[in-house]
Amino acid sequence: MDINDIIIVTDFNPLIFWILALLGIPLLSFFTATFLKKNAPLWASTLLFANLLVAIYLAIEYWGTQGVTIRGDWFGIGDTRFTYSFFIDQLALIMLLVVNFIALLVHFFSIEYMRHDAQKARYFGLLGLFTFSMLGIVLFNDLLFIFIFWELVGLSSYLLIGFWFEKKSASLAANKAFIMNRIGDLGFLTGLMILYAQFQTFDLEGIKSLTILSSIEDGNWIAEYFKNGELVRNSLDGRWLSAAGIALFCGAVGKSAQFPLQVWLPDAMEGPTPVSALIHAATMVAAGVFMIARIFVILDAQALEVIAVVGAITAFMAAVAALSQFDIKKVLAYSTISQLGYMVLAMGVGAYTAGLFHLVTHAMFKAGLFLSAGTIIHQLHQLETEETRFDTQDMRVMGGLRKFMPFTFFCFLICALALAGIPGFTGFLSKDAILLDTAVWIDEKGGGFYFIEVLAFATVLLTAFYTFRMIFLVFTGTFRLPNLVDKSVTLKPLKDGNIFLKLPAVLLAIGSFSLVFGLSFKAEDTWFYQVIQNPIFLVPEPYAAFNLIDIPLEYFEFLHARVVTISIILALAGLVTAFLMYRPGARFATSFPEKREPIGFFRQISFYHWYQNALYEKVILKFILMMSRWLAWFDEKVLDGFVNMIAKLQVVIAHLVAWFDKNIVDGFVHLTTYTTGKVGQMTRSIQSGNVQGYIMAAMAFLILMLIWLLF
Amino acid sequence: MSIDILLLLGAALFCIGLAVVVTRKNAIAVLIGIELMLNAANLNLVAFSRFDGDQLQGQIFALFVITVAAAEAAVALAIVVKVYQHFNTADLDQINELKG
Amino acid sequence: MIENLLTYIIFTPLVGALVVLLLPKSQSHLYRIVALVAMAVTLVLAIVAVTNFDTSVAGLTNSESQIQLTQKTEWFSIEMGDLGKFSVDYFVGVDGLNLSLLLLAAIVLFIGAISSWTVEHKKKGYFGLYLLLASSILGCFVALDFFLFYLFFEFMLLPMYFLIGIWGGPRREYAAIKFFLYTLVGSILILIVMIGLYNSVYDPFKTGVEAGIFEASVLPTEEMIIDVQQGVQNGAIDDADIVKSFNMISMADDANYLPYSILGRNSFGEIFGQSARWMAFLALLIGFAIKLPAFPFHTWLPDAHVEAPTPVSVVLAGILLKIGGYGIIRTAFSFFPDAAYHYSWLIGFFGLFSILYGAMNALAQKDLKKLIAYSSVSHMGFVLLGLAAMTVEGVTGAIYQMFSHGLISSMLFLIAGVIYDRTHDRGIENYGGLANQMPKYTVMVTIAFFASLGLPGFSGFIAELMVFIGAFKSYGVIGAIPYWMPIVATAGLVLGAGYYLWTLQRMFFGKFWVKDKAWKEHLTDLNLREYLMLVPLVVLILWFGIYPATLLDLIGNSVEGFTQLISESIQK
Repeated sequence: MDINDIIIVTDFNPLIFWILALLGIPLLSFFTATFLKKNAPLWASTLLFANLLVAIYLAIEYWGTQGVTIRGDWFGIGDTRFTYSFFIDQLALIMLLVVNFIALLVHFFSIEYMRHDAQKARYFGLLGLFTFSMLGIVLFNDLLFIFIFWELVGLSSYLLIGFWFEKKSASLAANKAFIMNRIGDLGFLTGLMILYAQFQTFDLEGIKSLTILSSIEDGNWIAEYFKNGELVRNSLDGRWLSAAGIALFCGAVGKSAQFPLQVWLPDAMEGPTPVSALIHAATMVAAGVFMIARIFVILDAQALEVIAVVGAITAFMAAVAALSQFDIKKVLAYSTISQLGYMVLAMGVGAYTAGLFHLVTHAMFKAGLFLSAGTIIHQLHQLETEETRFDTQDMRVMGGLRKFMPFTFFCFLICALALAGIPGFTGFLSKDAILLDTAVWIDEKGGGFYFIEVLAFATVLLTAFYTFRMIFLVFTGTFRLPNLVDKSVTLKPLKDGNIFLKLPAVLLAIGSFSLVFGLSFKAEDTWFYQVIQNPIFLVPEPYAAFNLIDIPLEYFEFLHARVVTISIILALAGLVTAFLMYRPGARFATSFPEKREPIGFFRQISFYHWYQNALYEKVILKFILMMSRWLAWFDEKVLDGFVNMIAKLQVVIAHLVAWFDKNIVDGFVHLTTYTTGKVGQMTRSIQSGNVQGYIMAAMAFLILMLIWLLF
Repeated sequence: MSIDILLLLGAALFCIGLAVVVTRKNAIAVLIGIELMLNAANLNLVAFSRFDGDQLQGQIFALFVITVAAAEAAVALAIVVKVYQHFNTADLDQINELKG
Repeated sequence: MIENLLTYIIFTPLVGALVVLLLPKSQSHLYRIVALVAMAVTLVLAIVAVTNFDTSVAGLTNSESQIQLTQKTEWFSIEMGDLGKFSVDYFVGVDGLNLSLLLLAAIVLFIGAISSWTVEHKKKGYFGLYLLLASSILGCFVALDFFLFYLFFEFMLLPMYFLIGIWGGPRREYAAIKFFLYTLVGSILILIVMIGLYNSVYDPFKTGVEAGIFEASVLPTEEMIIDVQQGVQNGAIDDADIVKSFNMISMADDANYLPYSILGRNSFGEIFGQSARWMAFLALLIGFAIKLPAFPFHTWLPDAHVEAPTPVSVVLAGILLKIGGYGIIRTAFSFFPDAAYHYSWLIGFFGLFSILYGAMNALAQKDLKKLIAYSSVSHMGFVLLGLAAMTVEGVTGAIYQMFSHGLISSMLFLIAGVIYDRTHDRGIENYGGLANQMPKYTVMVTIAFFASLGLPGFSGFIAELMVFIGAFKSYGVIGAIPYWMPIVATAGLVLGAGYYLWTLQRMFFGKFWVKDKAWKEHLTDLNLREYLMLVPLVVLILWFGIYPATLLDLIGNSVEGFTQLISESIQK
C-alpha cells in the first residue's frame, strides 16, 4: 500500500471554514482582547459564545456520521510530505462542545471574578489563546499538530498560572508547570521520533493504517509499505513498539498530571480560580487522556499495562493527599489528579469509552466545584480590607457558609455528590464503568495486577471521604473567620454571588445529574456509550493487548452487580466517616481551626503528597543546579583556564626564546668578535713599525725556510 | 777562475749590504745597503753566466737589474726626501707610523 | 544585472565603506545613514537573488550545473612547469546550502545597522569596519573557490577584532585578542587542508583546455569532462597540462582527485598512522567547530559576546557562527564523506554534549549576555547532531536551525542590548519585576525566550523537530548515529525551558526592584527604533515557524543532493 494513497489531500470541503472559525475566533479574541481595555470581558465572551454556536452547529450537522477528514499539505522534505489533517468524529464533536461550553462559562464567570483586576484585558486575551490551543488539540488528527497545540496549551497555562506575576509563588508555580510538562513532552517527542522513523508520517490515519500492515518478525518490528512507488522496509527492535506507546504516554503523564510528574498541578492553583476550573480541571489536563484516546489503537499490551499502573498509582496517591489539605483549591487539585488517574487507568485497561465518559462527566462536575469554590473565594475576598488580610482559600477561615450562600452550597453539593460517586449523579456512572472494566481486565490478566483493583476501590472510599470532609468544613458549623481575625469583617455580609457567578455554577451542577446521559444507572445504557465505542487494537499480533470487546457480555453482567455494590458501599462509608469526623461539634471539626502543619509520618505523607515535591526540589533540582554550577566552574576555570594557560604558556615560552635569542644566539656573535679582538690585541705588538726589524724577521724566516727545505 | 771565489765575493757583498740595511739608522745609508745587495745579486748573475756556454742570459739580466736599480734609487731617494720633509728626520727608528 | 547579482551583493557594503571613508568628519551624521542604505540595498539584492533562484534545479552538490547565479572568471594563474598550472578563480554562486544563509546574513546585517544607530564614539571607523565586515561575511557565503572563500573567511577577523576591541565593554582587549587568536588557530587548520587539497585536486575543464582536448570557448558536456578525468587517471594527459584548482565544487567529486594524491579517495597517504583523508577531515571539522562553536572549542564565545557592543554581538551570533556550520557542510562533509561517516558517532556525540553542556552552563550564568551566549552553544549543538545524522531530515534541520538561530539569537542579543543601553548592567540578579515597569519589553522578551526554547509556532521548533526525527531515523537508514543520541538530546529542551523561564521569573516577575534606585527613571519602555528592529524579527521567526515551506523549498533539492552525495560516497 502506498503511503501517499493513505494520506491523500482531500478535496475542498466547506467544513474547513467552520473549523477555521472554531480556531480563528478564540485566536481573534487573543489578539484583540489584549488591546481593548474595559470592553475586553464582554468582547471575549461574545466571541466565545459565537464559537459555542459554531460547535453546536457542527455537532448537529455531523452527529452520527462516520467522521470527516480534511487534509492538506504543509511542507515537504525530500520525498516526505508533512501534512495537516482535521478529523471531525463523535469524540471530536463531544470535546468541542465540552471545551467551548466550559470555556464560555468560565469567560462569563470571569467577568465578575476579574472585574476589579487592572489587567483583565490580558487575562481574557490569554483565555482566548488557551481556547484556541485546546481546540487545536481536539480538531487535528495529526500527532505533530497535536504536539504543537499541546505545547501551546502549555504556554497558555504557563501564562495564566503566572497571571498575577507580582506574586513570586505564582511565577514559580508557572515555571514548575511548564517545565514538568516539558519533561513529559520529551517523551511525546521521542514517541514522534519512533513513529516517524517507522512510518515517515505524523498523520494519525497514516500511522494507524501502516500499523495494521506492520508485522513482528524475529522480535523485530517491520513496517513495509510503498512510498512514491518504491518499497520501504523499516525495521526496529520490537521493543520500540512498546516504547513508542509509553513515550507518547509520557506526554500525557505531564499534561494530565500523572505520577511522577503530577506535582505541578497543586501549585498551579496559584492562578485565578476560573483558570483552574477551565485549564486545570476540565480541559487541558484532560487533553492527555484525549491524546491517549487518539493513539489508543496503536498502543500495545505492555504500554497499556504501564498506563494502567501509572493511572492507579496516581489516583490513589492524590486521593490520600487530598485528605488533609487546608486549602480548598488544593483539595480540588488533588482530587483532579486522582480523577485523572482514573481516566488514565481506564485507558490502560482498555476501557476507552469509560475513560472518555469520565473525562466528560469530570469536566462538568469538577468545573462546577471549582467555580463554586471560586464564588466562595471571591465573596470572602470582598470582606478583606487594607488592614485585615487573610487567606481566602483556607478552609480554616470558612465554616457555616451554607447559611450565607445557600445557592452556592447546593451547586457545590451536587457536583460533590457526582465526584464522590453517589448514584444518581454523573460521576457514579462513569466511575462505575471504569471500575467494572478494570475488574474485568484484571480477572483476565490475573497475577500481581490485583493491586490496581485494590487501589482503585480504595480511592473510591477516600474520594467520598475528602469530598464530604470539605463540605462539612466549608458549609456546616459556624463561620470561623470572625474568631480568627478582627470582628469588623463581619460588618459586611457574606452572600451568594451575582448572576455572573451563579449561572455557570448552576449550569454545571445541572450537568452533573446522571439524567443528562440517560435514565439508567448503568453506563452502558447512556447515549454516550452509543456514540463512542471501544475501538479494536491495530498492533501486530504478539504485541497486541486483548480487547474488552472480546469478553462475553455475560461476564460483565456477572461482575457488574458486585462492583456496583462494593463501590456504593465504599462511597457511603467514606461519606459516613466524614460525617462522624467533621460534622459540626465533632472532635476533628472543633479542633480544625487550630490545626497547623501536621506531625506524624502518615499525616505528613498525606499533607506533603508523599514528599514528592521535597524529593524533586531537594534532590533532583538541587543536583541539577549543583551540576550546572559545577560545569560553569569547569568551563570557566578548567576549559577556559586551559585556553588561557596555553596563552600564558605561549608568553612564557616567548620570554624564554627572547632570553635565548639575546644571550645564546646573539651571545655567540659577540663571542666571535670578542675573540677576534683579543687575538688582534695580542698580536699587534709584532707590528713594531720598524722597517729594519721587518727585514730582519723576513731574512730570519727565509733562512729558516731554506734550512727546512734544504735539510 | 773558480766560481767559488766569485760566489763567496757575492755572498760577502750581500751580507755587508744586509748589515748596512739592518743596522744603519739613516735612510740614505739603508738605500746604499740595498744597492750593495743588488750588486751582490748582479755579481752572482754574471758569475753564473760565465759558466753558461754561449748564452748570455745572466749578463742581460744583470744589465736589466742595474737599470731597474737606477730607477728604483731615483724613486727611493725622492721618497726619502719626501719623508724627510714630512718627519724632519731621516732616522728610521723614529719613523714607525705603522707600529700596531 | 542578474548575472552579476552576487558580486553586487558582496561589493555594495564595500562601496558603502568607501563612501564612509571619503565623507569628511563634519558630515559624521551621514555615516549611519550610508551604512543603513548600503545594508538595505544589500538586503533587497539578496531578496532578488532568492526570488531569482530556481527551486526546481536538482542534482548532486558536487556538480556545477546545480549552482545558480554563477559568476566564474579566472582571477590569476601561475605556470609551474612540470608541476602543471595553479589557477584561482573568482567563482561565486548559490545553491540551497548557502542561499538561505545569504538571506539570513543580509537580514541580520540590516538589523545590525539599525541597531548601530546609537553608536557615538569614533563613528567613521565603526561604520567603515561594520560595512567591511558585512562585505566579507557575504563574500564568504557565496564564494565557491576555496582560495576566495578562505580570503573572505580570514578577512572577517580583522574588522571583528577592531569592532570588539575598540567599541566593546571593559574587558574588550582580552576578548578581542582571544577571539582573534582562537579563530586563527582554526583558520590555520583549514589552511593546511587547503594546501593539501590544492595538491590533490585539478579542474577537469581547464585541464582539458590546457591539454588541447577542447577549446576554452566550448560548453563542456559531461562526456568531455569524463574523458579528461579518465585521461588524468590513466596518465594520458601530461602532468604539465594539469591545472590545479581550488574549486570547492570540484573538490567534492572523487574523480577530480589526482591519482596517488595524498587526499585522493584511493590514496594510502597517512599522517600520524591515520588515513590522510581522515586527518584532513578532522582538521576541517575542528577548524569550523571553533567558529560554530562546539564543545570544547567554545570558550571564546562568552567573552566575545559579553564584551562586544550590541550590534556586533548580533552579527557575531546571528551570522558568524553559521559560517562554522556552513563550512562543515560545504567543505568537511562534502570533500570527505567517507571520513564524515567514519566519525559520525563522534560528531553526533559532540553535538549532543554541546547541547547539554551549553544548557547546563546557561543555567548557572548571572550575566544575561553570557546566558544567551551559552544558549547559542547549546543550539549550535543541534546543527552538529543533525549533520551527523546524514539524513535528509537531519541536514535540513541543521540548516534550518542555523537560519532560525540566526534570527532568534539576534533578537535575544538586541533584547539584552535594550536593558544594557538603559542601565549599563546586565546582571540577572540586579533586576526584578521589570514586567511592571516595561510591559512591552517584557512581551518581546517572552516571545524571544519562548522562540529560543523551541515553542511550536516559532522557527526553532521546526528546526529542532527535524534534527530529532532525522537523527533518530539515521541508524535505520544509514547507520550513522545510535538511537539514544536524539532521545538524550531532548533533555536539552527541558534545560532550555529551565534557564529561560528562571530568568524570566527572576528579572521580570515579582515586585519591581532594581539594584540601583537611579535606574528606575532610565528604565523606559521600548522606543520606535527598538520596535523597528524587534518586530520584523518576530514576524520572521513566526513566519518561518508556521510556514516552513518558504525556506524548505529553497534548500530542499540541495539537501537531497548533499545527502545523496554522502550516501553514494559511503557505498563506494
